[in-house]
Amino acid sequence: MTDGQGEIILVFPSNTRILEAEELLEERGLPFILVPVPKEVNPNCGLAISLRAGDRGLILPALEEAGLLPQSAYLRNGDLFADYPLGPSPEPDRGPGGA
Amino acid sequence: MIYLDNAATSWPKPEVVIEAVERALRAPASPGRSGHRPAHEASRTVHRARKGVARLLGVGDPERVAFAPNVTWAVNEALWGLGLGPGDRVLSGALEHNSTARPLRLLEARGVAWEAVPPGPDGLLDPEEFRRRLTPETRLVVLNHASNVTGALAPAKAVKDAVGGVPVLLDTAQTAGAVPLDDLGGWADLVCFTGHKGLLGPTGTGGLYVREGVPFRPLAVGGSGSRSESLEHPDFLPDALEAGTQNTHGLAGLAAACDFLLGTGVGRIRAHELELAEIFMEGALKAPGLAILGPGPGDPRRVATVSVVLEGVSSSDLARSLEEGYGIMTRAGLHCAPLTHQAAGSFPGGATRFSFGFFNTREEAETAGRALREIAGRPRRGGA
Repeated sequence: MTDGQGEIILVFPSNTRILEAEELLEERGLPFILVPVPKEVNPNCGLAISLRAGDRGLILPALEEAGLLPQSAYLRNGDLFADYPLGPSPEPDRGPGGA
Repeated sequence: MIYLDNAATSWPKPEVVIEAVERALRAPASPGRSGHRPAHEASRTVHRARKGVARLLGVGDPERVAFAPNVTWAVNEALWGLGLGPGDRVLSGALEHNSTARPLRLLEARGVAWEAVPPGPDGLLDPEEFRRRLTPETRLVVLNHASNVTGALAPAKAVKDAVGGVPVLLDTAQTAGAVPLDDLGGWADLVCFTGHKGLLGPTGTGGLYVREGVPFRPLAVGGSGSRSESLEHPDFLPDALEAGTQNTHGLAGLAAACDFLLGTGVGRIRAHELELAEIFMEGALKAPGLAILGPGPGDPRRVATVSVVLEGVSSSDLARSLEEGYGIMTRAGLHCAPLTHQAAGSFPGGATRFSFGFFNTREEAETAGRALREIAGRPRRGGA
């Protein structure tokens, strides 16, 4: 899906969910940062989780296991945002492909 | 001052609560509304309060706990959410506070049948009486978990077992933080709570737990910080029931209070408070002409709220004598609970209520009992 470069933005359906997700990832010491929700993808006022694309194999399964998958995800490349499909646990990088 | 009005609001608040409120007031933040760090810190604080309350109520999922300004608002919201109408029937205990009784009276005026189940001679509710009154139209059972007048605990789980699939709304205003509530999530359908009594938080905090599958509907809609693009209010918890900016500093205090309670242990708090109530009741009952409403000494089916009636002395004169002569703060009258006083035979004169909290001491409980004995020994109006 990606070559492991770039940034994935996770948008959650509610503030409570993102707080739960943040707590979980912090507890597990997984790498992420919180950023304002990019207005290009969602008009909400709150926060989103930003992770390096290469770390998605660590983070998305952890969220999925806890029932905290985001409502949507985006692969960011500069000012461009592409939908990043969420589904079953992402597998390790399969090389470049359509994100 | 000897403060024995913890059923109205607990005092003192733990120091950590006061510090948390001040810290929150000094922070430039509105939770869930902006993406900057202070705003997120405020969100985390509110979330900590949500998780703390969920743990203390034993309801599991913090997302299903919505905050409200107080328990009265929460009760109204819970009742509104069920969409009750003509032809529906509600059972309640007869030990209800006006926070539930008045909304039920309003529903009654709109065609909902309401029956208040009286307590037995011991002042306690009998689950079988609820089962006996069930009809196919019964849509809800409302229970004050502990009377704010007599302190009597409702056999809430047994009532739920007795009424089967009928939803139960539990008002925990007098039990949250004072009685271990480890299992409400397993059976209670709607749990209303206040933050400023047994939970030891600030006034202006309270809320509602809604069990999964139970309908809910907001009393107010508006800004939520979520789904900003839509003119429709969010339909998911807790946002659905939290329109408008939250009471951030109040909830910061509540978060700290929950930490305090979880660290101290509610079981320990209950044991201490019950011991004080026992000391007080044993001392008070030596006063001639004094009667205790509800469960007496040795009966653990109560919280540490004890109301007394002293023959020949009005409830208000007694409260005044206690304050002026001994610096003891109590509450006289009907305690916003006319149904309870009717059931206890103390309507309309009411009673004088002594409600103990975690920070009260044995000496204070003894002093209160001694004060009653001394007041009872004085000449009384009317020669009683």
